[in-house]
Amino acid sequence: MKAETLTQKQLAVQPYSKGRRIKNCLMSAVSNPYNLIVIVSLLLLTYFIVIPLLEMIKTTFNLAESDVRRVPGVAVGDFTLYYWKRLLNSTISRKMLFEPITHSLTIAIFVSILSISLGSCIAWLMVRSDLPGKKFFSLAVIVPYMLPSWCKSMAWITVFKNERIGGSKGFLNYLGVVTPDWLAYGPFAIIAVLTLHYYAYSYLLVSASLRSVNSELEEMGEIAGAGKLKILRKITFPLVLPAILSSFILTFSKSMGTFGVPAFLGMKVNYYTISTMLYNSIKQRQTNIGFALSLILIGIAAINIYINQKAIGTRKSFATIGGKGGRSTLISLGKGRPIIVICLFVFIGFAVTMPLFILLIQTFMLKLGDFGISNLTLHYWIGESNPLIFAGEPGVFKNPQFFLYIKNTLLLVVFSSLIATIVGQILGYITSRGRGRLSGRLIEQMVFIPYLIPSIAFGAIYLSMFAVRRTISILGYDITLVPALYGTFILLVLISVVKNLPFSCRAGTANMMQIGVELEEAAMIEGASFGKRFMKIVLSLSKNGFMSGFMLIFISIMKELDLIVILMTPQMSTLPYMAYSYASGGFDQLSNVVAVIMFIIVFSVYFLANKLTNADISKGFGG
Amino acid sequence: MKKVKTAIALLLAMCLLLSAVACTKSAPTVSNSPAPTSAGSSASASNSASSSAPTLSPEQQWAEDNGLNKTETVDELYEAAKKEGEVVIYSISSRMEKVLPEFEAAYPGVKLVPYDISTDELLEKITREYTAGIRTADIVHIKEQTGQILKEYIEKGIFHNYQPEDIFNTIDDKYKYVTPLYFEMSWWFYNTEVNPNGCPVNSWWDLTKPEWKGKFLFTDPMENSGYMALLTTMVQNDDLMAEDYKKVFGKDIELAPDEPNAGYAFIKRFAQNNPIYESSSGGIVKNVGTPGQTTAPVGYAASSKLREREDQGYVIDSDPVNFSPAIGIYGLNTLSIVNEAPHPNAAKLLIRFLMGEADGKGKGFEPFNTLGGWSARSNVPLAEGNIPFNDIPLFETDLEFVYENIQDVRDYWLSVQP
Repeated sequence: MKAETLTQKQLAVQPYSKGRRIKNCLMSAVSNPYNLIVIVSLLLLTYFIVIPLLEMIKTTFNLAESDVRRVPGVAVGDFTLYYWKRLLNSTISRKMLFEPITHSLTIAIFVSILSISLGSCIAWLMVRSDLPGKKFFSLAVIVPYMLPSWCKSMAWITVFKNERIGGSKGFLNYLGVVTPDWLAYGPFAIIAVLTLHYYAYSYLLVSASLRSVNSELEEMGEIAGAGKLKILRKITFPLVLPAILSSFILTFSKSMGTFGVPAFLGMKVNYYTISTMLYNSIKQRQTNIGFALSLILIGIAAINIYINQKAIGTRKSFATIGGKGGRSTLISLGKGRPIIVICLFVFIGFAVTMPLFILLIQTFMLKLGDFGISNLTLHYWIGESNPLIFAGEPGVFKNPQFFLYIKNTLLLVVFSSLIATIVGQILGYITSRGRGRLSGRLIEQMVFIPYLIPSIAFGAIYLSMFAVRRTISILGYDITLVPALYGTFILLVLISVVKNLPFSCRAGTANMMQIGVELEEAAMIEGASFGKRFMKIVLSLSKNGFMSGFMLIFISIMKELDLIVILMTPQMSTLPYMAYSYASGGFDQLSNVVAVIMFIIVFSVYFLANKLTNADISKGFGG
Repeated sequence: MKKVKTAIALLLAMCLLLSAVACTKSAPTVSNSPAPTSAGSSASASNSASSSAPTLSPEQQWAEDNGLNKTETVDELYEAAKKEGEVVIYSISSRMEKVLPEFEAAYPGVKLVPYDISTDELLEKITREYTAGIRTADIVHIKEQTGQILKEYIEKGIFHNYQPEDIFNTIDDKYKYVTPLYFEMSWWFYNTEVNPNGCPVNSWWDLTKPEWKGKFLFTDPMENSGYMALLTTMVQNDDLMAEDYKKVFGKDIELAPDEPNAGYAFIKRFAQNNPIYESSSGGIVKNVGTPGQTTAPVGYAASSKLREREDQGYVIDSDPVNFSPAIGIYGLNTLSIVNEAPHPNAAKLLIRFLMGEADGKGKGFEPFNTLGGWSARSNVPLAEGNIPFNDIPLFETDLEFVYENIQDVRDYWLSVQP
């Protein structure tokens, strides 16, 4: 196929002279705005992503001050293979690298398989079946993604906890069921909780993709005499396969890189993953080893994305927003309907209601150890300072800083998600139109890197990069290449945007891929300029996807702290900082109040967006 | 062909950008933080000092110029601080927020800007700021247990001690390599409902016994370098550990080939007795002290968590005095003035305030003078319910040794994990 087109091309160009051909190529390369966008994006991404990556690589080969005496003859900052040797071939390699990496891979593979199965099933039920109460369910199944992951770990422990770690009894224990250790802590628990968190990705991706499947295709199969299963297997499944593979990348990389859940449920039984090992190294300021570990993580993810790109390949994407209408007929669930509804309710009870309830009830408990009615209070919400409670710490709403925190948080979240979404649409345009081209593939790989650089490290590197003005001197004029952004609000927005590029870019790509190229081509024939085409066709058709991409990033930035804590000044502090500050002072209840407030903000923004603009978060992803 | 061309063009463009950045990176335009113009009196005093001692490093010179080695009166400092207007402190404690209204009431016109941030992030932030030539923080409040602050910051002149005579003459000289705000420690907590007769463990070796297997909570030393420093101190004090082994088991310790001394032997046996790791002291006392348990583990957590008895209603207590050979090491909460700090006089004023002023009764120290925290000063009263600091058996802290050996102990800890 490829060879054939090539010869055709060669045939076609033969009449022209070589010089003319080169000239034409150059002309079109310079005059095509697409190329301009590609070059600008690549330059920016290089600075924002590749340079931090290079600094990390460099750090792993430079000797740190605290290790000088362990490596004779090498001075601080000199080149050394010490860290890589230590990691790959020393007495600690087994515990530091090989065991954690096995654990991480096990977790990532199981979580991916389980959450893709779960997410796809729910997506199919929501989109293609005649399930009752879809409005409610489609809202409810997204909630686990809005809750912080530690909240779900806590719910897991509350149910399955046994006497081993002490504290109050687990729910099952209370009923007389003795839960074994393997169920309560360690890999099984981690996989279960992470699945509950990340199935949202495959749900979003697959349902967006399913929604775009024209049911005429399936009906055609039916007319041709295929059974229901065969239609699912031969028609529906191949159509959503790109979405499934995409969600595999997101889920796999995210569960490899996540820290909170494996730390909470794994470290109790000395079960380390590569991410917990790497966070611990960085927190102990063993930066060099930590960076080396995180490079290994990035390597694994890059291989994963590469395989994925090969698997989807240059295969045609399925443009579904075309000039032609489509329709969708729902499939009857038949007798299974009530059973499925009950299953869904149980599932939501476990994944949504319980973590929320546990979080909420703790904000009303004056003392955490006491479950009596008299112990319930609103003090932590609206109480005035009382010297007998938490050394006089007033309720959250009475904290003089509270409204400043709310303002900062909203500013940061709204600006970052807006910019990230717009950038995502542009990058999505490049990757979708450049699929199979080097530029498209390069950008797709690059935007995934920030996903896997540990947040603290990313923040720290940005501090150095933007601490001072960097200038270049041309003919005696100093031209500012990079302004000194450190200490400004802009830097917080910038890093939030970059860190969330994988999301926004994926949402953008999905969005752009649904818009058929033929619409643009039609406009091109009519003589519309690139700018006009982009504004009038691409952007206006992608309004819906824009809104949902915005929501996704909104939720993600809302929870961010590690990333920006190093870059913040006290006046810029946000709600997650407030929660951290309370928790570090030992004021658990107050910290939980802040968590609840954050959840309420996210939920109401999502709810409003859903109502007002008809944006469905599940449409933000796809193909 | 076209593809190759675009690719080459892109590569070239990237190289250009990279080299441009590399160039500027190698010679960063250090923002000229204006040399702090301190109050006239101290400047003139330092001029004479600098001429008499020409060997001072630039950092030492700055400290000298800004009167960090002098004892000035509060009024002098306040006058100079008012001109500076504010003081910024990076702190690992949320209690700095409590100091704020007190400080601003005592010294109107000087604003206090506290930033509460965790240890690793604080060091990362201040180090990167400092290297880039940015001077934002005036004071850093951080805990020193591993020797890192001393060796990599104070000895390098990045942080300065400030120890005015009238306050620091009440502090033992052996702590003065840093500027100590207060001491903290960790100790073993037990559940008072399950153990009405007192603490069920009295020695570190008790925790290597089969009956405690999997029944004690500890913070993973891989996660918290303070605990790794404790293990390193045990390696240094291997004679004490060996002696205590004999006391507990009635015979001399027999070392296995992979146990270089009694300290290492303890680490190995402790690690293999299945500790339950919990990330935070708060989590540990919660699990130990939730009322209504029939069996409860013991847990090693920050002494300040004794407060949670009242705050959260946990049934916990501790008996550090009878623990052998020692309950642990102390964590020194230190205050340092950052080199070239923009508000040196306000910083000095704030340190005096935090230390409790000359008489030790100032309001600045009150938020820190709580259960499980001890002032380093002899004339500051003990917080209510606190055991006197000198009654608690602690390992002698040797920061040089810890700094030199902590990495070996970390490797050993990892290699003996089950």
